[in-house]
Parts: sequence; structure tokens; C-alpha cells
Amino acid sequence: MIEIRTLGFAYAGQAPLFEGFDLSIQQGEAWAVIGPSGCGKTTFLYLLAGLLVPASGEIRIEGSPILRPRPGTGLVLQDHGLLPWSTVEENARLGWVIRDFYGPDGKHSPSGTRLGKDKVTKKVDQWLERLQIASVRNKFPSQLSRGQRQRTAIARTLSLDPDLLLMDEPFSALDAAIREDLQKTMRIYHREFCTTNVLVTHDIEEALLTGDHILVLQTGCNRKARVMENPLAGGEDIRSKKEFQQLFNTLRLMLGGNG
Amino acid sequence: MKTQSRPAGILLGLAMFLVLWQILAWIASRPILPSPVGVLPLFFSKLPGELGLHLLASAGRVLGAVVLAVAAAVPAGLALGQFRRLDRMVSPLVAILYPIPKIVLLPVIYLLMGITDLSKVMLIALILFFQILVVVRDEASGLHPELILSVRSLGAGRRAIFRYVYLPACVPAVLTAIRVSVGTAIAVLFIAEQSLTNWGLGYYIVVETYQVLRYPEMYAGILAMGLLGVVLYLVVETLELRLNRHIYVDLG
Repeated sequence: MIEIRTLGFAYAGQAPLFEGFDLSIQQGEAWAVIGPSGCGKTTFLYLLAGLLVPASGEIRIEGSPILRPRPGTGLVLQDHGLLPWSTVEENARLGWVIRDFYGPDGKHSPSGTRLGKDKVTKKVDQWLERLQIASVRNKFPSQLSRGQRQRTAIARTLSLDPDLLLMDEPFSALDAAIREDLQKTMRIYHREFCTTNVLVTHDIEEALLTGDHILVLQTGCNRKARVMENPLAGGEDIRSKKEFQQLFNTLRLMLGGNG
Repeated sequence: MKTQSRPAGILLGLAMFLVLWQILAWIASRPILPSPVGVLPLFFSKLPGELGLHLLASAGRVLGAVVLAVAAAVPAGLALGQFRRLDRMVSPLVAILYPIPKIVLLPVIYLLMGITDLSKVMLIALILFFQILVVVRDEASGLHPELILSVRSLGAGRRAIFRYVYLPACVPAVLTAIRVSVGTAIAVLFIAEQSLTNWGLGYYIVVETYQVLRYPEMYAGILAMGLLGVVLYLVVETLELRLNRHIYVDLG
């Protein structure tokens, strides 16, 4: 699904974050990316999303090099992603409105498929229902709780049927109960639609809950992918298992001991 | 928090204004300050005729200036807000030009553009232009980068970002800029119309009435100009309330 070959990237005037970095991610896998702040984990996600372009090497998704956002990739950010002047429903629909704006050109929206207005409405409605925000569909983002805002952003992304889901700390600003609920929702979605997931987090526990494979990035330049396999992810009540503590400690060690 | 000027509020304000005027007229009790009882009937009788035409001339100039200023300042402001390098290049110039009272440029504009209606309109447009330019630029550059990124991730290129993010983001700012500067625009219009034209309320008030001591007519003209300001202000405010539902909704 994702092939990263000798990736190099640096922001202008700064030391490189990635150099000769290789990684491949298979279709249907769930990945967590963890690291201290400034390690380049958000940069890594933006590179996968096509919002940043590698300085050297390349990233291929489904065989095509990523130089701009790809229609099949969905991105969920921590906050500030909603249009403040649009309602929940209008926001959730935005992806389809943009696809309509360009038509099925294969560049901004997938070629060939074009859903009718009714089908789009039905699809968006389904996601509003499923994410429990149908009752606030006519409210504006400023009137919502953080959790409802994030649910709206997720509904907007999922209604576009992404096959690759990129998430940047999507739950870190939420209360524990809402966070767990949304983590569960996303896990179910992942299984149901067999999407490839990449979730960026600074939270060890969240990485263990969401990633079958955990990519650990470090401050400074990342040359080699350090990956921890995590057989626990997606299971029920994994925090009570004794392996959880072991993996937690391993991960903390990989992060430099002060995770 | 802003509250809508309800029709009741407007009527109450109007009544208070008239009462105050009446009291001042009683205190002065001289022909130079006639009471509203005399001026109002005159105003309404003259409005369908000559006074109405002067009012239309003034309103046309202001509206023309608004259209001209918006058409020029919105794209320019969006460009400055989107392209940081361009903004850094131009902003020292904007910072110098912005506070210059544009009315002093009146003779310059006459010299360059000739004594036409268009030159008067240009002067007012110039005032509005800088007001709108600055707020649109700030609005466009103040958008969260995350918002732009997440909309780009939905497939939006530059055109769609402009249509679905920048444009709706700057509409409220444009309306606010127009609302707060429409008073200045009309003040400048008043001065610009005092010479080199035979139409407009500035001409009517100063040349046709004040200078020939027709005081009640002069007050009717002033009332018309005041009305122009109030109506424009209220229209823009109403549009703001309509288009900015998200700002005026009750929280909670």
C-alpha cells in the first residue's frame, strides 16, 4: 500500500528530519507513529498525505508517487479543521462539495465515481448518525463540544470512503471516556472497511491501543525505521493484560525513558 | 456581544433624536434652527422631487465607490493574506498609505482624472479600499493552517480553497469594514460634492440652501444625508447578521 524509499526531508534552514528513510506499510494494517515533540511525526503524516513533498526519495501509495493530496486518503487533525461558518452537516459534506466542484478529474477527486446528491446526503446522514452528531447537525462548530467537533471532522473524512486513514493526535484533546469511545469507533471502522490506518500520537497507551505496528521516531534525524510489533492492539480490555505493561516499558525505553 | 438593532430600537432612537432636536429648536428659537415640525413636512414634500434626485446622486456615488472598492480590495487583500512574501514586500507601503486622510488627495484626483463624477467616486473608493484591504488581508492570513491543510486533504486545490475557505472567511470582515467606514465615506462625499457638480446632497446643502439662507431646506438636505448614512449602515448590518449566523448564534 505505502512504499517509502530513501525518504529525505528538512524544513528550510533546519536540520533534516528524515534521511534515507525506508518503510513499507501493507494494505489493511494499523500503524501508530509515536515520538517526542519535534521528532517529525506530524511531518511524516503530512508527507504521506501529500501536503508536504519529499526533498529526496519518494513515497508511493498504491504504486503512484505522492506529490499532492490523494483522493483516497482521509486526514483527521487534532482541531481547527472545521469551517467555523458552516454547520455540522455542511462541514461533514464539504469533501463531497469539493469533489463536485472539480468533477471526477482523478486529481482532486476519484475519477469515474460520481455519487448523486441523494446518495451523498444519505451517506453523510449515516455517518452523522453513527458518530452520534445527527442531533447537532444544524449547529456551528463554536456551539459544539470538542468531542462533537472531532466527530464532525471524522464524519467528514469517513463519508468519502477513504482506503487510507491518516490521523494526527485526533483524540488527544478529548476527555478519557470520549477518547475511548472514538478509538473504538475507529477500530470498528478499520476492521469493517479494511482501511490502512496511520495514527500519530505522543501517548504510549494510545499507540498500544491503536497500532498493530508502532513506528518510533526520534528527535534529530530519522535514518532507520524503528518499529515495534504490538500483538495486543485492537483486543478487548488490553490494559489489564500483563504483556501490556511489558510493551509499555519497551516502548518507553525506545522513546528515551521519559515517555 | 453585538445585538441586532431591532425595528423598535430604531424607532425609539429616531423619536429621541426628534425630541432632542425639538428641544434645541425651542431653546434657540431662531430661524437658523427650525424645529422638526417645520422641517419634516418639507423633507417629505421635497423628497419626490429635487431633493430626491440629489439623494439619488449621492447614494449612487457611495454605492459605486463601495462596488469599486470591494472589487479591487478583496482580491488584493486575499493575495496579500495568502502570499506571505508579497505581503512582506507591500506592507510597509500599505502601512504608510493607510492612515493618510484620503480627502487631501481630492485635488490630486481632480488633476489626474479630471473633474468628473468618476473622480469623486474614486476618492471615496480609495477610503474604503484601504479599510477593506487591511481586514481581508488579516482575515486571510489569520486562518488556522490546520484548516487549510485539512481542506486541502479533502482534495481542494487553490481554486476550491479560495471558494470554500478564503471567500466565506473574508465576507464578514468586508461587511464590517464597509459598515465602519461608510460614515467617513459619506463625510468625504459631502465635501467632494460642494464644488464642481450640480448634483448631490453636498451641493444641495451648501450651494443651493446654506449659501442662499434657505434654512428649512438646508435641514431637509441634512436629514437626507443623515438618512443615507443610517440606511447604508443598517443595510450592511442586516447583511452581516444574515451572513454571519455562526457569529451571532447563542452559545450553549
